[in-house]
Amino acid sequence: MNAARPLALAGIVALGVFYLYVGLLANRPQVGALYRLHFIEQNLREWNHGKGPEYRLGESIDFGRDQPYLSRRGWGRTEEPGTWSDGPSSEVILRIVEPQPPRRLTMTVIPFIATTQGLPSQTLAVYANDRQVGVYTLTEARDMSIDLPAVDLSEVDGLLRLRFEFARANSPKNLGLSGDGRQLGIRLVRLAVE
Amino acid sequence: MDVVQDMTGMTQVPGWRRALRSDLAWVLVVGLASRIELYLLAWLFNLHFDLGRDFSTLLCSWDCGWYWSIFAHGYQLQPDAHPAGDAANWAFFPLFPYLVRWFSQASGVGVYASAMLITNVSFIIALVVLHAYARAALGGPTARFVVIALAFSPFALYFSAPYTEALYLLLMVAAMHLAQTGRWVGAGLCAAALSGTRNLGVFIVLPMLMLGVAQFGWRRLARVAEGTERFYLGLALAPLGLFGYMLFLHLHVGDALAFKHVQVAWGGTVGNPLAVIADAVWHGDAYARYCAVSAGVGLGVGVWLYRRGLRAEALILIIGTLIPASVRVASVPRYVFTLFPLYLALGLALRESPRAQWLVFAALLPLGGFTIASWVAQKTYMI
Repeated sequence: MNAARPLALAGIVALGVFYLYVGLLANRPQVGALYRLHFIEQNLREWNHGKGPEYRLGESIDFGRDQPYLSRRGWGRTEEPGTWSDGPSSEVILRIVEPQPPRRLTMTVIPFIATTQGLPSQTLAVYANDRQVGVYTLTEARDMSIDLPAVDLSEVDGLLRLRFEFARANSPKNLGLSGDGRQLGIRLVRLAVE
Repeated sequence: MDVVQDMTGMTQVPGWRRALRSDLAWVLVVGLASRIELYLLAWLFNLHFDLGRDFSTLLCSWDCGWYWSIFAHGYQLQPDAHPAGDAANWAFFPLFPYLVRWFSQASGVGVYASAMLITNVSFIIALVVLHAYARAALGGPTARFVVIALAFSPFALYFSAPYTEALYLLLMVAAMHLAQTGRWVGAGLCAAALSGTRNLGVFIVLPMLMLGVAQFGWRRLARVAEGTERFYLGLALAPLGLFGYMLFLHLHVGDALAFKHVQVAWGGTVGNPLAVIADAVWHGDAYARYCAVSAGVGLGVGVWLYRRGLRAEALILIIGTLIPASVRVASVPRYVFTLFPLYLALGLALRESPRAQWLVFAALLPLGGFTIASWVAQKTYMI
């Protein structure tokens, strides 16, 4: 038997163990929430030199204009008077600059409904940092006010991630209304957190 | 026996060794001539465009700035480049910039001059290895044409720019040559260095696997028969550079895949390369179409090489086209036209026609002048 053979096989095993170890490290990055959101999930619109989409409590955000707070995925182009969601879920990401936790979310939304085509309402589930804060059935444009659970944002780089899920998102094209293929849920007009 | 005596008692060098020396001298002359032409033209264009570059920064365009940041300061801890501040030099693999950095620190030579030295020496050695490789595959006269075509190619300027291209070429052709001749551990070490030079380097395992199957056969490989352990070790070594860099990134920034994740700063997301190429053809501007055509050339020549029996080399070309195109078509011409199998294909296609070889050579020279001028003038289509 070739004397180098055991050495070669041992080398292969050692390399395999090393690759496995590094692969495990790659699967568990030791990074902040903002880094994870921008570089790993690639769902942040603006890195803003590591400051992210900064937000001061009480500011009202007008989604009829380009905003850095919308997630990369899940929204259509900016339109007046607000931006349509596109797909089964969308996010608004706020980096709260104040130390105190947010207490209340207020927003104005217009649901995508088409009663004659069998879509009389939209179901909207709202999550704040992955905790569900409410489920709503929307049949018309509405100003909403939602209490937020007390959350410590200091461990997540001050990020408040508001996720909206639409169980009945549908496209005007699918409903025979127009050629618009976007999967519409709500049109987000205005939002504020205080 | 290396040395023999003739009937007169005079010591003679055997014919094969004379031929080897003659080939070596010929390749060195071609390599040096091509570099002299390159620097001369670049200098003339530098004067013509009044760019004011000194000799060591003559070919420092585009990503040169990124490499300079590693030469001078190493890898960043935080991203801070581009208007959004989300670009970092993690996207650039470490072997080339750290060779320059260490050489510069050890020798006291400036970083640009060190980079110039390393790229040009790598390129000349790569030509020597390529000649040996092409001679084994296509015969002596064609091998010489392959070397000329690569050295005077319009894209050969990248082999002297402070980019990874020269080192990448050297390591790739050396890995293939060593694997082709059954020296698998050496091939694996070159492949390991290759995967530490550029993210694409790790894919050398696929052509190496193809060569291994051709040499040993599936059955012997499946049984891990005597002698195949060196092949497996060679394959296992190939990702070492990549994983070493990943470990470094994990320790440095906490993200082993930071080199991939930072692509977001360049707008890169991985998609279907054929769809990306088709989109560039139908919806892209002139530059995107030029890149798409280059990708088409890479794929077409790859398929042609495969059908002509140079399958491992074909795979290099196809992978080297598809992987970059899966992110974006920009820079695809640089990636494709600096891959050595393209020039093997050219040699193979023109093997029977020395006149066509001369015509091609004559066409390469003015094209080379154009690309050198474009590079020095920092034209975007040269990125």
